[in-house]
Amino acid sequence: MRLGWAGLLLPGLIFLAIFFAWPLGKMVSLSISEPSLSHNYSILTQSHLYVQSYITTFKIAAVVSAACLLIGYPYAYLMHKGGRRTAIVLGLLVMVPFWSSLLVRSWAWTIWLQDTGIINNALKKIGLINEPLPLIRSTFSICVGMTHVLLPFMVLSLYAGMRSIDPDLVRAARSLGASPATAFRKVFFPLSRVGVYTGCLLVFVLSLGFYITPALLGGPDTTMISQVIAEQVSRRGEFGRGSALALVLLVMTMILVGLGARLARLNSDRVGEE
Amino acid sequence: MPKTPDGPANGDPSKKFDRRQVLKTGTLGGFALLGGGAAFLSACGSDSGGGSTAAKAGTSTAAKAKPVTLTFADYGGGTEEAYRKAWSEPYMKAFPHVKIVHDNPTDTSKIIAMAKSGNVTWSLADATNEFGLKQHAAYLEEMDCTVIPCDDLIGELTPWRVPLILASMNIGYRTDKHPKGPQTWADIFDVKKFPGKRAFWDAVPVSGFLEFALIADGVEPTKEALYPLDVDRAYKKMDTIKDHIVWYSDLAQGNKLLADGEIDYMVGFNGRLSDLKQKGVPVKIEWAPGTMGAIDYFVVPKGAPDVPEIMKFIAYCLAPENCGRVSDYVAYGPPNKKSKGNAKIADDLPSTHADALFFQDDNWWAANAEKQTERYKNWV
Repeated sequence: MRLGWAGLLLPGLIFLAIFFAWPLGKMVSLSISEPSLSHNYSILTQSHLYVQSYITTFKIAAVVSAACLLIGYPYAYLMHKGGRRTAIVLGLLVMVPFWSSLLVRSWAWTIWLQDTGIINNALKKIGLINEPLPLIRSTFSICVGMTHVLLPFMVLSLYAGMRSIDPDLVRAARSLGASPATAFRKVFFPLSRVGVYTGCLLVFVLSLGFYITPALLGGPDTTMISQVIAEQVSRRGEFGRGSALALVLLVMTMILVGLGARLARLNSDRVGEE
Repeated sequence: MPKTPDGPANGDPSKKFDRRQVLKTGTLGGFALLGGGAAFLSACGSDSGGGSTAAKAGTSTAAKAKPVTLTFADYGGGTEEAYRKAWSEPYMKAFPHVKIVHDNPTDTSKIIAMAKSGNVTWSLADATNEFGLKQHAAYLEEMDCTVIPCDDLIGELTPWRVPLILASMNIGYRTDKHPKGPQTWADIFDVKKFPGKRAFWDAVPVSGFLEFALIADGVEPTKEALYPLDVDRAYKKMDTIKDHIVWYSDLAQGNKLLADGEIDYMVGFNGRLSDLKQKGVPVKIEWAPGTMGAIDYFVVPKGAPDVPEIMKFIAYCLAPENCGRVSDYVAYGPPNKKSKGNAKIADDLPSTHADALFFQDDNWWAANAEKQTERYKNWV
């Protein structure tokens, strides 16, 4: 019987082997042999551009995760508290843009943010500014666009986390004399942290691979690492270097995710103790 | 004309680009780009009569030949439409045993990957002037100049590439903001005379901004005078307008900047600018001395099946009577000196302004592209 259940794993494992493990192995071998290990990895030390690009990427991912959390937490809380109908309406609102093309949504932001865009034109018209604010072609515009794209992931993670919290615990806190704010702070919020960690992790990791949004909304000095990898591979034909850069990103991501998971575990242990 | 790789083009003066001759024949310019020319397609009537002589010649042999399928990798959008209507469809009619399918976008790294893995799914591809050089020989089949009319073609031919279309990088500007806009490269680099934002394409080297900076600084707009590029001098000139530049990395993005009025001036492909004009945006395409000619090339991935059939198709596309048909659909045109382009849009075509054009030294760039890409990124 147990074997039967394990058998269900087989399609997934085969899929992962063919479409994940094999290409990953291929990338590792490309990065050390195409044309040589030193040729591929030495670019990291030859020019600070690549290191700079990793820093930009991680920085943007962190800012986007934080922004998604700040917007997403109250949103998810409202979904959770507001009853069935509110949850459905708010859920739909967050999901509808999710179903439209990423390319279109990124383009749409240029209409708002560019020098002759809606925001700058409106501010000019009411006389607040003379020169357009540098909203577009900056880290700011990339973060805005990516936050918009990734918000559903955060909201859904948070909402799922909040739904799993036993409502009796908050009620118990209230009946023991805690004010609503204290009950939220001492009971609800710590219990919702699992959702916070999953959401942040999801958004952070997804952010690292963004390509279209930074290409459309960013400037030439805000290059994210996926753009650098794409350039190595499709413009320069440097498969080895592209693989090397991607693997470095993978390793760095794994380290960060590992640290994050450990932190999350420590924190949830502490919640249990309180 | 600089030293080109050891190809059949070398040492044969007839293959070198002759501006006057091109001017005389009034060919049209072309370049393969994403998405361009859709409005333009409907604006221009289609001319389908060109293939008829070939059709008569082909039918007798076609009946016996074994069926083949050729895959033509292009940049999609308007150029795919143009290649399809100008070449592929009439060719299939003339040679019924050949089926031509289009795939896009073309990508040199894919060609390299195909050649390396031996799993070649493209028969022929559109490539920019960075590709098809000696260092790419391992990935490409050699062109057969006994079939292809190599002697009549412009551009830097190598044994692995023949030209496909001629395009150019021009100064374009909004006439509603500047009735008389920048006429020369010096004007584009003069922010006092021409205030406002100007856009450059960020693709090193094919966008040509270093060359334009040098020309603006007084260097003769010829390949001989420009190369090897005085990069320090070019960046010194670039520094003077750095804060007035908007860099676009995607060609559609560049068009949108100009269409939205986000920028006043754009350095961009003639076909793209012409496309904006067709769509009603008040744009003027300037033909300043030192406008950069840009040639796209046919390349054939190494190991492609049915190479003789591919060569026959390329020869058909480049034949004088067929070569100009592309310009009926998109504002790019024939690299065959004996071919004529679409007279209706003659003023938007680089071939009409051949005297204003210079061409990049592809070999200098092949040796310096990587270093210069990094330098650009450090500078920007």
